[in-house]
Amino acid sequence: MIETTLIPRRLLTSALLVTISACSFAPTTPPLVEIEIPSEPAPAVSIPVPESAVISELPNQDAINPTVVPVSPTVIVNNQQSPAVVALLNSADAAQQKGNFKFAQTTLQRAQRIAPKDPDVYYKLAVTHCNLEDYRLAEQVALKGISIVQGQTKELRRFWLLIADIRMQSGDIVAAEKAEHMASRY
Amino acid sequence: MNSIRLRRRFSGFATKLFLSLLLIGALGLLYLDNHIREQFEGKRWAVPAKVYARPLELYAGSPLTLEELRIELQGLGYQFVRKVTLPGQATFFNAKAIIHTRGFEFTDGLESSQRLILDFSNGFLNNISSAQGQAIPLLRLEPVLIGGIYPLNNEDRDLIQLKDAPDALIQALIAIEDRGFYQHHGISLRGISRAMVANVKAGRFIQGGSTLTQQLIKNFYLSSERTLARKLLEIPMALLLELHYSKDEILEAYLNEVYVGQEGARAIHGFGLAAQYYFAQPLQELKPDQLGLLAGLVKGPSYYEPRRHPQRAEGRRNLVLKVMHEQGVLEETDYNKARTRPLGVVKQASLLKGAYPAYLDLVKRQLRQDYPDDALSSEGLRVFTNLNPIAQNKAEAALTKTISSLEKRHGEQLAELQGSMVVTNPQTGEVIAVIGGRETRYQGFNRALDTLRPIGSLIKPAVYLTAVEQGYHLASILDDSPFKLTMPNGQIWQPENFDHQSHEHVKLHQAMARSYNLSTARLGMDLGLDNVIDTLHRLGVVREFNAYPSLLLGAQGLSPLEVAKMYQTMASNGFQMPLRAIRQVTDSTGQELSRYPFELEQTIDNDSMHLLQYMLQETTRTGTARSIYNHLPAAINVAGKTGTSDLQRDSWFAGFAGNRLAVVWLGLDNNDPVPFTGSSGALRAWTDYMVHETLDPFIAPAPEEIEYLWIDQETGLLADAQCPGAQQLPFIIGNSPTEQANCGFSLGNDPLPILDNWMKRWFQ
Repeated sequence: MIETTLIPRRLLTSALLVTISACSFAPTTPPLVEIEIPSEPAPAVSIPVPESAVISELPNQDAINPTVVPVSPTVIVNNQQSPAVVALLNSADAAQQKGNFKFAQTTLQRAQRIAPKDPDVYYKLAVTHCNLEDYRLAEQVALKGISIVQGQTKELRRFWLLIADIRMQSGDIVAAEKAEHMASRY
Repeated sequence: MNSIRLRRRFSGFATKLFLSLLLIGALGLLYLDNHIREQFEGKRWAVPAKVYARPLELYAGSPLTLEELRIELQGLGYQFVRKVTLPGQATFFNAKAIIHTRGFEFTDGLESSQRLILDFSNGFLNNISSAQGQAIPLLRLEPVLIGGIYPLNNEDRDLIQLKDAPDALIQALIAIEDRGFYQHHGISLRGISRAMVANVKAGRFIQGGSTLTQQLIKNFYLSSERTLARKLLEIPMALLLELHYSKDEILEAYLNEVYVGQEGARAIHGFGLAAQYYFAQPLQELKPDQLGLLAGLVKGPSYYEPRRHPQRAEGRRNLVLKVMHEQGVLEETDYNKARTRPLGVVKQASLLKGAYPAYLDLVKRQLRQDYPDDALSSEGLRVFTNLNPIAQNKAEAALTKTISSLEKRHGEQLAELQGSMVVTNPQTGEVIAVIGGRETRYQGFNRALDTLRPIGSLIKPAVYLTAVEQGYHLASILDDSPFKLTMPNGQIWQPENFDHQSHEHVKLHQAMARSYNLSTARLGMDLGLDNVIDTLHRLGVVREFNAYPSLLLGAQGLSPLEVAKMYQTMASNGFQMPLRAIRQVTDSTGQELSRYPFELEQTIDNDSMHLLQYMLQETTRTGTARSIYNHLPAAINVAGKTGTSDLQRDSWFAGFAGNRLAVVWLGLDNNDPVPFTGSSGALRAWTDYMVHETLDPFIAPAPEEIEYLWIDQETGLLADAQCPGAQQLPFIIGNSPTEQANCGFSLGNDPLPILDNWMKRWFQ
């Protein structure tokens, strides 16, 4: 309904960006953190959190309808990336910048095995597949990212913008606009 | 006149004959020469593909215990010593391990050989530091070699270069087999005459007096019969070989060609493989006594077989060591130490190469889609797989333990009880363990891939998923009363519940969690068989199904691997993923040939899948699989489904935590009934496996179109959170009960525990 008449400003800018750089939009979004980042480097053990720390005891602050009494389950994502994942993501970024996308892919899959619920892993992996011009897989990886960041509006917005970019790259402008619209909801 | 003519003619004939023979001889020699060079310079050996397990990632915070590290290091043939000084050594004390890695050249980078200190606590690897005390964020251990893909002649070998062969081995070989190696030109006259004397004494052909060069000729070019003709051919060939090639080249070929053992049909060739086969260690790490044994084996690999004839082998080893000492290769003290050491040959059962035939079978099938057989068995390809030896080890222990305890309980009738298991990473679709039968090392019928057994109630999630896609919600009321259906062929289908009772009107989520057959069959008929089949396909099952009503209760067969693929889609929020055994294939130099990356395709929408995931958790919390929580901590959310086929011929469980998905099948090969169900059979093996793993809870964040509402258990209507017996259920916004129950009346009527703790924890 609305999305057909919507002329998203960002889409135009991203269309411009696209013409000059392929799928290299990864660093344009600042890292998004829902919970505080520790000022010191992450302590060595960051993965083995007891279940109570992983699962939110808080109501979902982004709940669309606050009048409903019981709130949907939400998950506090442990944004504290372990040094191992940080090292892998950095090395994937470096490879990406050098155009070594296959290396980036291998490295991101290593990161995925260690931190399969880290949105950054899926974001970067989607960008990698976009760079490898596998737009179908790029979008699917981004959708997988979306399925793990449910309830985190900033992340959802970031992923939908990424999907819009991927669809632009693949030449599907109508679908890209739909993704833009999805992003604009957050 | 005549005689002169005759003589002339004769001498002409003799000259011609002589010239012809010379020509034939020269041609023969030329032919031999050509043959020798062609074979020596071409691809000398068909080198089997090497198949590796996944490399173990070590990083601070990884879920790894000391015991698990020990399993991995044993698989890699590490030596547990008091003081770690060399690659391939490890020492454990308290909650620490010191290891010296060997290093490995991966396609995406070299992992260098280094000495590390690892700190463990509470089931996790806490910290990794180098010998200099620097923290190391992560590294990979070298991957365990788990198998090969052999050529038709079943020759297995692991090529080495001369520079990698320990000096002591070469010195031992020369000392015991051919002292004049560096002096002769291929044959040793002294050796031959010594052998002739022995042969004459024995009255038959017993000794060859062969040099290393001749032995190489014999193994490399000629058949294995001991004939004089062959012996005669051996001499000119040895001379020719020495003419063309250096001693080093000949020695290197010898080290790789020599036959040193036999394991079933698999022939062990070369010292590179021999070191692995007898000591589970790389050749470079072997000590003089071990090298002495290997050198001694050349004379008679089956006569001196150290596993079968340890005394003969020890005698032979000590003879080699003695000769080494006499020749000045081994110092007095080293000699005395070496000859008193035990043989140190590892048990065949501890070798991981060949330990996972069912997994290897899956790898081969996936490889054959992309590579011809001869490339796999001859090009020395390297295949990197997803097999996790630690997980496989635990899965095997759980399955075999469950099978033997069931046998013990049920006696004779279960003597042939079989089972199989598939374990995957639900986040990535990687297959990490496969068991094809109770004899896990037996390379036979692979039940994980090839048994097609009725899956019983494992099919139900497909029915309930179709229902929620078609507008049912979890509190919808289903009819669980008995019915009869007359089939087109006149047969009557009359399903029953497991307890032979009807539950009249049941809520949809309860019918699923308690696995009621009547309501499921009625529901499925209502939804349409074709729609349920379509859901099965979207869950990732590729097989064609017959649209018979009995399909709704799982009468049609699937393999455990197919079931794993189906449940994988449920575990990953509706994304179908190919189940991948292989990560990457490279050529023998490490150049990548193909990769099999993370792949996925969303085929079920998030919202519907969330509702199904809820029901699968209810099954494990309060439904047919609730016995799980007698063993698993309540904090670990898992989801899954039990399955029992008609007449109790098959016992199934499929389920997942956040980081592990496993499918277990138990049954008899002859299809006889078994005296247990999915819950009392397969589920036990599944649970036993899961409690031994470090699990992440399964957590599926609710999509935004999902709301959780309090529902009265009795009526399925909306309730107040304070109502006794009220349960929070997920609904797709806009599709939920709208009427409010009067909860005062439901007090005390509820058979279910009031608001289970798991839901409290999960859905606050």
